[in-house]
Amino acid sequence: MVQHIKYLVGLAAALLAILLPFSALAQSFSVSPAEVSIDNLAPGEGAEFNLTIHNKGNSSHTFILTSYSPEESQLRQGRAEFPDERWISFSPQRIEVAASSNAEVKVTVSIPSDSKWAGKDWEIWLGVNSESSDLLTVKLYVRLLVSTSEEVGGSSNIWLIAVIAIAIILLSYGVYYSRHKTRSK
Amino acid sequence: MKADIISILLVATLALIPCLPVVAQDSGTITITMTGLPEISITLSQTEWKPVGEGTVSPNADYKTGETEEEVPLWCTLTNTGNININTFITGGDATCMDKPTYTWALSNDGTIGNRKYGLLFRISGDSRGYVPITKTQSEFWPHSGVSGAEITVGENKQFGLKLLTPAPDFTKGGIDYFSVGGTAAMKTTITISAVIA
Repeated sequence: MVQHIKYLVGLAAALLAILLPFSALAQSFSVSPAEVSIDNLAPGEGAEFNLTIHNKGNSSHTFILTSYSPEESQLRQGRAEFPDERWISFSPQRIEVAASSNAEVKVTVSIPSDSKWAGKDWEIWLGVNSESSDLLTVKLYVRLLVSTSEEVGGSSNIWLIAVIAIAIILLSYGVYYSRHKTRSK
Repeated sequence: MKADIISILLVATLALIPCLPVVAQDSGTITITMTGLPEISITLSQTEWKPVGEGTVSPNADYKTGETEEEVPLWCTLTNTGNININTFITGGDATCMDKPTYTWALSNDGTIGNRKYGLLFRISGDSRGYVPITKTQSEFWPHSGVSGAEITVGENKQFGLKLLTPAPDFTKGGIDYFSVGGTAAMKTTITISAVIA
């Protein structure tokens, strides 16, 4: 009965937050570079670069990195949506940055080895936001532009190595055969 | 005889070893361009808001960040504190009761309210759109499709405010509308303002 009454009493208090005068400063941070362009990346290969997060606040904060596929209208001209967000990885994905300090996060882009991903121009955004319980939070995006080469990496080299191996075997057999024939005579 | 074959194979293999690194090289050069050091950053003058007085709200009511319509959009200032022009976006979320997480208010996608469905709207100073619903899908803050190309320049700011529309009552008793949570329960939600290089 007491429990029942508890949930039927009064108007709900929708305290959307408690006012903290300096909380805006606590969320102040920047990310650089704001745009990264990777060109001539062959399917089957990967590329790495670093993002720098600058915590401008007066206390340490934890930042979380995510990828985001924007609407087509937000993409650069000639760019298509990045096919799979799982091809992007962050190391680390969650990082604590001390007050008035910088930290670097390594971003790796890996394209699967498939000819259907050759010759493409894609765009995806990399989001950085501070862990916060405030009503308003800030997320900063880095535009990542990825262009793949016409050739597929990795697999073509495997074929070349296989051809060389077969050539060695055939050459060895030829030499052995000719020497064997000479000795027989 | 076998020794001959083995020695020929070894010689041929050793001869080809220097070629393998060349074979293993990429067919082209990957270029990663990070022009200069463009830094993206925005600052908000407010990040918290208590809708009214001590923050207690009634069902089916609206609350604004100012007493008059002119005051509403003066509540918070977004400033581009980076060194590049930016486009900005806004996203909202469902509200959850902090004491009873199973009690939630779903965020409306058109600014209307309903049973356990609430509305959040923003209004930018001087924006002809007036109040714009905040939804769970990331949508344009500034610029919007009506002012294409008018990105927020370095050092520029935008003033904005919020309007909260509380859900319809969970029940009515003695002519008074109630939510079915305790009198001191607090609802919590988050609004994300995001920015990208223009």
